[in-house]
Amino acid sequence: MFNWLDPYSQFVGVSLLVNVLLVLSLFVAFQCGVLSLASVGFAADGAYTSALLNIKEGWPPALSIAAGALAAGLLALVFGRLILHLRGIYLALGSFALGQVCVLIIANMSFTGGNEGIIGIPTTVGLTTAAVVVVVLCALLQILHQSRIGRALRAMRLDDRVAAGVGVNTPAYRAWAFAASGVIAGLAGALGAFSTVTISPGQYDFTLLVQILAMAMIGGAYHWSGGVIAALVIGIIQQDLGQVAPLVQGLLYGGLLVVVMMLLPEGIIDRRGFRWVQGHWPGRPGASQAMASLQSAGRS
Amino acid sequence: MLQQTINGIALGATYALLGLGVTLIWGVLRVMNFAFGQFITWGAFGCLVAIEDGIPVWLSVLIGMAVGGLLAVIVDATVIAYMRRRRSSEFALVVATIGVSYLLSSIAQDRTASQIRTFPSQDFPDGVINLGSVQIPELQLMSLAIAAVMMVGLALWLNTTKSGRALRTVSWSVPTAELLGVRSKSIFAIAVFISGALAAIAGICIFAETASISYSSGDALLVVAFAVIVLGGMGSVAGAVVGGLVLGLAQVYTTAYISNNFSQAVGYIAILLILIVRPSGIFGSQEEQRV
Amino acid sequence: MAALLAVAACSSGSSSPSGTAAAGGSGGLPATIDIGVPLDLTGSSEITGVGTGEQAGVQFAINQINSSHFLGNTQIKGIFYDTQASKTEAVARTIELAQAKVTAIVGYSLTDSFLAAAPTAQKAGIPTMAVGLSGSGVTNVGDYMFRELLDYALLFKEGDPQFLKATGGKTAAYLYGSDTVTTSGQFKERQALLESLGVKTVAVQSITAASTDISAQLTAIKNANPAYVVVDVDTASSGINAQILGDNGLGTPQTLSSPTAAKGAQCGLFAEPWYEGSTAGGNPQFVKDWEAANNGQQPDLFDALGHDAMWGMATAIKQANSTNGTAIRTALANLKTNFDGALGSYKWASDGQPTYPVTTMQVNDGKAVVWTSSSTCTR
Repeated sequence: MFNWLDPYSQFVGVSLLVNVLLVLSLFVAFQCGVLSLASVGFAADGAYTSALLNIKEGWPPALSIAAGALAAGLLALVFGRLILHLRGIYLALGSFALGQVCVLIIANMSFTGGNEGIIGIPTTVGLTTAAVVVVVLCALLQILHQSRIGRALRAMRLDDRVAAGVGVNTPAYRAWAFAASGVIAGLAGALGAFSTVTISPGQYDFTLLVQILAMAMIGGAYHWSGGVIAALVIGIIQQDLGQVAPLVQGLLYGGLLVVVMMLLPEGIIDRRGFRWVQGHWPGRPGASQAMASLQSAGRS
Repeated sequence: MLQQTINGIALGATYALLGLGVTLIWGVLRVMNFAFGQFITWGAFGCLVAIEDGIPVWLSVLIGMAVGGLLAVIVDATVIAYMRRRRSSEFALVVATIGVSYLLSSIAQDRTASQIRTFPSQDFPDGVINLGSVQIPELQLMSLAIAAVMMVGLALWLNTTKSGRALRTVSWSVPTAELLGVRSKSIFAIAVFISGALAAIAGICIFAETASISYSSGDALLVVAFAVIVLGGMGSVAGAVVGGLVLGLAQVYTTAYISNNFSQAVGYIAILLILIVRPSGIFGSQEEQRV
Repeated sequence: MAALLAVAACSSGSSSPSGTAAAGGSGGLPATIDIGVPLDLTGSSEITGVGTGEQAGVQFAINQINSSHFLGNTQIKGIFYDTQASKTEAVARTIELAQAKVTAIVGYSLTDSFLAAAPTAQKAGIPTMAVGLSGSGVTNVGDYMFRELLDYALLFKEGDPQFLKATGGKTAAYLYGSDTVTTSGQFKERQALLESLGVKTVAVQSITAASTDISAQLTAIKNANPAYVVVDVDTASSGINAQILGDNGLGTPQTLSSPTAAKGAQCGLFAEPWYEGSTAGGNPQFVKDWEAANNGQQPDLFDALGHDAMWGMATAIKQANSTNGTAIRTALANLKTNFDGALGSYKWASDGQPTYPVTTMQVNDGKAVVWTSSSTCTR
């Protein structure tokens, strides 16, 4: 479908979409108040699981990728039970530690190739596949956003106790949101693995985390489109800048992160921004009105 | 075994310094400042540049501490103070500090052209003292001594001086402190400066031993600092000391007796285990409702 | 001149394909020949010294080739990329270079980046000279792959038997960097070699770039009381009374700049592919020209590698008298006369490996000097 684009742009496009998926994985957890910094580790798990299943066990790529995503999700589900009782910063720190431990374990096991990584993964994921995956995921997220579950998740972010009081099963929702975050991150990692021939632990580093965190925070926790827009715009700008010095990169991500957090802590698409878009968009405001007014009441 | 224990204690002492730096900020300001890693790097570079300019070592160390402290104050006075005024969420604040950290790291990377620099360990004591079967490098002794002096000094300051006790009041409740006439802004500034200085001296001790420093050296130590305060309990000075020693010993023992490779993971695993089992840490009881 | 146009056109994502039949060249060559130079210049403090040195060497060679009209009226245009120690960057840039149909590629500082990106170049039939990779498996990627720096396993095979014979130790402790492909791979090969020569392993310790403290490892090594300490990291181990067997990182100015490190490295033995005082091949002239162009600054191994890699490729292009990839590749593997470069007077074998000899050296009094079995040194 994208054959009118040259191979270089296609390759870069896949890389961009993988980042979009990582941002969405952060979003899924963040929309209910869980700042999970483990996504990079889950992406590594997804990538390695899928690559090893394909290379060592001969599974077909599509199946390997799905298995990789599910494996990461399972990991998130299991470890989620252990750390999700924490709040706020402690949870962020704990998830950060979890993500890093995942990568370190991979780097030190011999069957994963250690620091040398895995080479020779078939390049079966092209721009078309990646685009389809992202579009499908966004559609699912939109359905979630408009559903009762979506409203419950958003309510949890604003005030946990009120949400629980209204009957939302907060621990269960949080666990599933974290698991979903794991699945999406694992999917991102697996797709990346099957498009770049080789993976190694070093690429799932803190720099990557900072970049996707920047995009996710700039996008905001209200609607998935914020993160997607932020990821695409920032990614394209970075490509157009070509070979930039690390200083410029640092100013771009670091500076942008600081400025946005200072001026727009809710991100570019917060509730007000979204309502504005909705109002100007031919669509149905619908049932989200009631919950929205409850949210604004709870906020003040 | 004894030798490794000494290695662990010496390392643990410097780790305790890192923990003290973070715990000061956390205890007083309730901020988990990811830019702390950069205070370590910049402070140590400040010392390096001073030594290369021919300034005597002891003065260079003080200069390095001043650089670390000043940088911390600048970051606090600009980004963090602004966000505190706007009552931003915890997340936004932490993420902003991550942004600051990345920004500072890129500047350091640019100024050093991404190269590793040799830290002039020859200007520090480099002999060895023999005590029976054990050999103690003089550098380790120096680190231990510095750490001990800092810890005692900090404890004394917090408990006996007016400003130190004002700090403890402020950490309990800002409005109360203000009501009682404590100028919280200047207290914040002092605490932040001290934490930056502690970061710098800890970094200097560690880099003097490995004899190398690069723009990314402080980041590995950032995790250590967080691990120390999670272990010892956030906001607790005694906790930082104990946490630091435990972590230092754990790292050395893991390297020596279990596996070299996993010693990197010790800090992270410590964080995970403590958060899962006893989130408030060894000494931190006041944090329980927050966690 | 065409060389100036190169600098302007370099940084955006697209670049015009090099002319295959453009007018104005000499013989079968076009007016400008594009050669891609992807190197790691930033992104990891451990590799930047390597990458920037290689870039300097390559640029120096391009200047020499163009100003001396080595290829007649044809000028070489270097397309420089910083692959930022990132594999995906290396792959992306290689795809871009293949798309732009460059005549050749001279580059790559990291083995794992090369292994990821090289298949693209191989498939596109672009002759590639890997400048500074010391790991193995480089030329296995395909027959268009050549290497300038030889596999370090050969350094060990040449040097270690001589060292063992001269010093007669029977036990060894190893200290290696476990976080890169090259150093951990080299450790395994070296250990296998030494054990096959009868040296027992009594301790194995590893460190990473992020290690904040190595006292534990050093103590463990000391407790094992080895005759040899085999290091592939630039940290000279202090206080350990054993013969050091290192690699060429041991003798670099950076390692020996600190008096403590120099003392710790005293009498350390290692093998070098190149050293500044070498009189082999074209090295004396290279050193002289380099110092003249760089304010008296001396070249290092990576400058020499970059220089020879580009010159070697240019020599092959001249011999093939065409920009056809297959022709250049064949010429490079079958050079009519020895190539006189900084690393000696040598050729490339049909498997892409260079054939220059290796020099055994020793650290003595803070300097790296040539070593023979009759050299003496006191610790």
